[in-house]
Amino acid sequence: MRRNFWPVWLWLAGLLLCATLTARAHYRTDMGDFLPRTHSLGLAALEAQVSGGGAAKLLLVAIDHAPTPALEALNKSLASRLRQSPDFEAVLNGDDRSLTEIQNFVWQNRYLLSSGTTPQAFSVAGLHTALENGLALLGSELGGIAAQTLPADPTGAALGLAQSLGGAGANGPKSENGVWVSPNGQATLLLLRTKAPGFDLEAQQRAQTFLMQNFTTARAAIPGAANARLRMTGPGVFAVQTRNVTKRDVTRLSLLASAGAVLFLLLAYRSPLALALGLLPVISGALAGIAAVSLVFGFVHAITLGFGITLIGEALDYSVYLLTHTQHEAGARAAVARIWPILRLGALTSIAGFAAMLGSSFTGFAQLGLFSIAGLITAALVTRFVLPPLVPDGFFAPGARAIGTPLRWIRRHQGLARMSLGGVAVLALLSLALHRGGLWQTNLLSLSPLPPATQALDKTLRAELGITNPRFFLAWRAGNEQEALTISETLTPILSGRAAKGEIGGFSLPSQILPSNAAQQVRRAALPNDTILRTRFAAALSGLPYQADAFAPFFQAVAAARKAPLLTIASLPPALALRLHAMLSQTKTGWIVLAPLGRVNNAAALQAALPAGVKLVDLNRQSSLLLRLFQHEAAALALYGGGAILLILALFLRSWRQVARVVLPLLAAVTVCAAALTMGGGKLSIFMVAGFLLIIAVGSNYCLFFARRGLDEAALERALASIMLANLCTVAAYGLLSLSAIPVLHDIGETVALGTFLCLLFGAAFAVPARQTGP
Amino acid sequence: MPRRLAAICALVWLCAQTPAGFTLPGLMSALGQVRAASASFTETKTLPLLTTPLQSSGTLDYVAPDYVRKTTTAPAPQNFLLQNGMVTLTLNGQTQRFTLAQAPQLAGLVEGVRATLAGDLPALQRYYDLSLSGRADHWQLLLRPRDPALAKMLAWMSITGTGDKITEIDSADTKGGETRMQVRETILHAP
Repeated sequence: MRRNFWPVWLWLAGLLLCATLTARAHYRTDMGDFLPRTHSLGLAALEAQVSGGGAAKLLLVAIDHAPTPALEALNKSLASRLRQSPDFEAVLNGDDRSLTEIQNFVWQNRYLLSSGTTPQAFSVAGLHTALENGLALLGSELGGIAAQTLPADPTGAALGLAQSLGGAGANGPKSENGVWVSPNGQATLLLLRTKAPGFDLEAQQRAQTFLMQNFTTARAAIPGAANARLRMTGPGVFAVQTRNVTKRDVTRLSLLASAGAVLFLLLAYRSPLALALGLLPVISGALAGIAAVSLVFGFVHAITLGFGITLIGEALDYSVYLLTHTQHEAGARAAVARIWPILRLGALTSIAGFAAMLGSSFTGFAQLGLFSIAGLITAALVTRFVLPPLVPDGFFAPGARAIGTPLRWIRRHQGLARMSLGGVAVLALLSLALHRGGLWQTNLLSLSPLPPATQALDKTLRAELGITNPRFFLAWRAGNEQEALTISETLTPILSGRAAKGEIGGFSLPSQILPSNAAQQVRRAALPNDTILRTRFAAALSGLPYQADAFAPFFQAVAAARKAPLLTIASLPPALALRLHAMLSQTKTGWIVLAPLGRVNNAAALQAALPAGVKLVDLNRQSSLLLRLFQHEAAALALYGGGAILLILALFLRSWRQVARVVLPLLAAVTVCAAALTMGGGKLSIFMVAGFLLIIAVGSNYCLFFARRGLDEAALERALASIMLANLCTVAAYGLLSLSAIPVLHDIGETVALGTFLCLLFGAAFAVPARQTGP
Repeated sequence: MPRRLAAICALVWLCAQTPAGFTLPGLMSALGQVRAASASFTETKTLPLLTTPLQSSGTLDYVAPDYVRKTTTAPAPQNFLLQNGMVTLTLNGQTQRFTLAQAPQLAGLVEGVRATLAGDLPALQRYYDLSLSGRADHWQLLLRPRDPALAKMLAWMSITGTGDKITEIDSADTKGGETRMQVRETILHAP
């Protein structure tokens, strides 16, 4: 027989093209890109928050593992080095300077900043009341401080500002010897803001490397600091870390997983060449998948990449089926002709299953759908057309028969196997029905590709630095910065009223840090001129025991404020600018403002009091809404996918009995798998749900092979051996993936290894036609 | 004010020969034994900003080691509460809450009284240089700020007592203001 090599040349050309596209693709790690494109303000707020929002440039740093004096010296030395670097916009470490900067800013600009700068406050009655209150203040524990500020600030503007600036999320850490320390005193802390945006991973990585280098240099110069350790978190750190960990786990663990599969393949094939050939469909499929996603979406999400390659693991089975079915005499081309109808049907059912993902509103899901479809089509075609001409004449898999032994055993004891497995399936159904507390993982963080330890460190550092993620936010959209600030100002009276009544905890609004231009102008206009002010003040003093000549600084300050230029973001000291930026996120369509609230007693009542366009966002509720949306989609996808698979099977098998033979073992396997994963109160993550899809895709191939009728005993044994081998590879590979610290890889590995093995058992017991009992 | 300070310094010098057995650690340990105390007070504040002194009176409550409450009843109600490093201040009908860490200048002032009550020598020495004079039944502890931020505001503080009871707290700020608080303990819970 003449070998036809043109498919090989065509394939090589295609491979080259895909490799080029893969090398040029944009890879993204931002969780926001995985979430649905949405117009709801609540979800937009959640997305902004998940992506780091306005805080995307923050780096949270803790230094520990050294004696306190060394830690303090190290912190100061590092901070002064970083302050000289153009890569960092703000370096805060609780030194007296940043505190003084804020105090000076507030003090200098108290009349423009304070909402108390009104014509009434500067009337005779207003000034008189302020001076009376001043007397009480002088008599209090704050008297010493008040005695120093009162001559320049008798209306108490600066004191009021100090209070309003201490709203929700404003409680900085405790400062000791000019350095922030953690509550347990074991670590010193820094808060940095990079110049580069959070999504610029290269720049973020550069800034982080620069930080680490300076830390190492500073540490070497400080006695006793040799063992000191620097840990950092923040959106930029996560993005870089995710990229690196995904790279590492995807490459290293995938290598290890492949090694596990390779071991079994070598055992069966006893030929390195056959082994190499067997990997061609998977590799081609992966490259085609990346190329397709990058062409259609313009970027490839890291989760798509890590996850997608595991999804098309099924493609490895294709070559296993081909090579195991290849007989010594007949060769690979004869084998492919025999198994192609089943292989094609198997690939079609999987594609139908994954096609449902294409319609998902979750960009990540849609990408995964496209990735697996392109990957599987490519892998099936490579198996059909490229492999057969490449398999050497006379090849067969000598080790396969031995590998098929356990399945032959099940077949011989089919009655026993059916009874015990049937019992297990019933128990599994019971366990699922009796499961309490919900089967679904409802924590948004379970979506995150970050290892739990990293998430925990971030939570700790955020709490210690006082930038906890509050649960409640007021969110509103604005066309520009001034609009954002003007809306913020309308909220101040509503929130202060409720805070005074204790209905809400503290609050932070952007206009507390920077009032709108309009508000600043009104305040400036409310200040009387020097002559009028002195006259009114003299009248206001009557009857009070103040030294009349003590208040010259006040007159000077008011006169200066009347001439002062309006404040802008550029006028803010770094620490305040950082807090303002954390509340403002710029989106493609304008600004989203997220103002944190401390505690909310009655969310409905507060929402009713807010002006139109301002929404009270409960992040917990939003993220569970999002997850519910996700679960609805996952369920819908499973239904559509399942329906499509059934339809295709019915079309091709043309017998409901045959369809049932293929489908029922799959359903039983998935049920038992779900029960095993949720045993002891465990929850199903969305990755596990995707794992189920994969189980069905892979398992349907098993069952299709199992359910073939009219095979002679030798052909059936080859079929059993090929399925067993395929499953051993799958279990070895996915079992190793379950060792990954990345939730995606871990969950999918665990689910698929267990699920496909169950498919093998249930398929062998229920799908294989009963043995002809001989005479 | 300088004359008064000179007088105190002279007193300190005169009493340099404190009787054996009465030492700073000894006093601190005695004060540290007190679990809780309540007292009434009268306070007179003289400030250069004012033409007449401010008079006030009320009650003091202390629970070891870090609960201090000062309730002013006259001339107008005022409430100062220090609990676990957190200050709650109610005056002019408004309540403010802040931590001592947020108000470093106030922290030194408040710690001077709190740490003396608690017999917490290390905390006192973080902010002050101390000198003790007198006898166990009539002692005087002079606190001079060593913390630069505090020294900008406070010139000195002096705490007078008998045994494990405090009878008077006086202080002077750097701008010429003086406070004199006389304390009469009503309830004392000591072992």
